[in-house]
Parts: sequence; C-alpha cells; structure tokens
Amino acid sequence: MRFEQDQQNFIWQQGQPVINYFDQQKFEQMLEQILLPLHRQSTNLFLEFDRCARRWKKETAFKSSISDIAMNPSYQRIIGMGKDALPFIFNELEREPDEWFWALMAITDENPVKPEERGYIDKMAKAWLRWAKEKGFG
Amino acid sequence: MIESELGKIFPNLGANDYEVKSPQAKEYNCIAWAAGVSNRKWWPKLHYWPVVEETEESVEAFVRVFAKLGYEPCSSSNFEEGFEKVAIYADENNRTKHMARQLASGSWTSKLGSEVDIEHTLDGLTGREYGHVARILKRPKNVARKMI
Repeated sequence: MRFEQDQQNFIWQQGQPVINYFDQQKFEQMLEQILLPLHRQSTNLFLEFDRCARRWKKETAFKSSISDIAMNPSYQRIIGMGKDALPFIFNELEREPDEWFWALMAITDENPVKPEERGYIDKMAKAWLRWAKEKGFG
Repeated sequence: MIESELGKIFPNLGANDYEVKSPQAKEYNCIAWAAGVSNRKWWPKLHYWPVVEETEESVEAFVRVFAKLGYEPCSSSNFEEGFEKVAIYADENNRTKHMARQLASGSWTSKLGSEVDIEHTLDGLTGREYGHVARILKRPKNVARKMI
C-alpha cells in the first residue's frame, strides 16, 4: 500500500499534525495498527447506535409509558454502550429532542434538568446540551 | 402511512372508529393530553407530575394523582352532561399504559405516544399495546385546574 504525500492530511487533527514528518513506513504502520482500527471501531459503534436508535423509535412510536419506552431492548443496548454513546446521543438531542433523558441519566448518573423544566422537552434537551458542553462533549 | 400503522398496533381500532386530529408532536404525551395540556409531558419521576411524591405507575397511583385534580372514579364511560371524564388503560399487572379524555361528543381523544392525536372509541385502543380500560374517572366541568 502506497500513500501520496498529500494524503498526509488524513492524520491532521484540528489544524495540528499528529505526526510532523513523513516516514512512509511509520505512517503505514500507524495507519494499519492504530488509526484504521480506531476509525473502524468508531464507525461500527456509530452504525450500531444508529441501528438501535432507529429501531427504538419505530418500536416505541405509539407507546405512552416512559418505562416501556426506556425498557425497549434497543434503548437498553444504547445504555449498555456507556459513555461511548454520549456523543451520538447529544447529536440526536440537538437534531431532534426526544426521550433520551432516561439513557443520559443512566449512563452519567447525573440529571442537570431543573424540577421546573421537567416535561418541557426542549428545555430538558437544552439543559443536557449545556451539561455536555461543560463536560467537553460539545 | 399512519393509518396502516394504527391498524397494526391497535387491531380493535376499526377504520371507521377513529379520526386523526393533529400532526405528530413530541412536546406532550397522553397523560398531559388527558389533563388538557399540550405543551408538556406528564409522567412520574422523569417529567412533570402534579404530585411528585407519587412515583408509582400503578393505576391506583394515577387515580390518586388525578384525584388531586378533582377526578373521582365512576362506573360508566357514557357521556354525562356537566362532567369531564378520563380513562386509564392498564396492562394485566395493573401498570398504567395510556390515558384518554372524553369529548363533549361522547367520543374519546388520545395522544398516541410521540405520534398523532386521534378521536376514537374507548375500546378501539384496547389490546396488546395499551391493555384494557382499568378505570373511568370524572370531575365536574367547573372544577378549577389549580394544579396544572
């Protein structure tokens, strides 16, 4: 496998180079052993989250009981992903506020929603997104 | 689309037994809608709940909470002039699954999960999803909704 010089950009992060030299052999080694497995792992996790989230929404669309909504197997699987699921949940919450609050409380053991905000989906979502930003997720 | 879904989820809901009355909305749920609220979700512990000490999801707990709003159990689901009625649906374990509110026409209105509001027959929503009608509650129409 050969990489052109300009493909070095692949390993730049936030404007800073992860490596500041171009050693073809070391680059390929890093790519094969670290970057690609990390990328695959992250992609697989996102795909799994997305699959579970879609299934959860479909299976609970008509449910009224919050317990039924939260005990759905796909939702529980997302909770089982632990903190790795948080960035995906916050993205969803920002895109379209929904019943992610139970999962967030279960994963983080916190609840930044004030009593007077309870039930207002938009306010609950904003409280969690503020929390996410404070904790470095945003 | 929604009609075919409804038929699958609620097999007792005949095609002529209901009418969709609103677009899909996530801002409120069936319990809030039964209480006449359409901008907030009601559910013990996680969302707004008029009596925070009542954390159970049993039918009895919901009856106690709605008693604070002026409702008391009654035996008939027939429309009575001067009264508002709500119905509690529950599963075989006595867990509350859904609530509906009676309209002046005598038919019932429900918010279905995060989906639409429909007008429907009381029995139309019984079955696997919401269980059976466990209680009918009523209150005089002039009771102030002090706790909402």
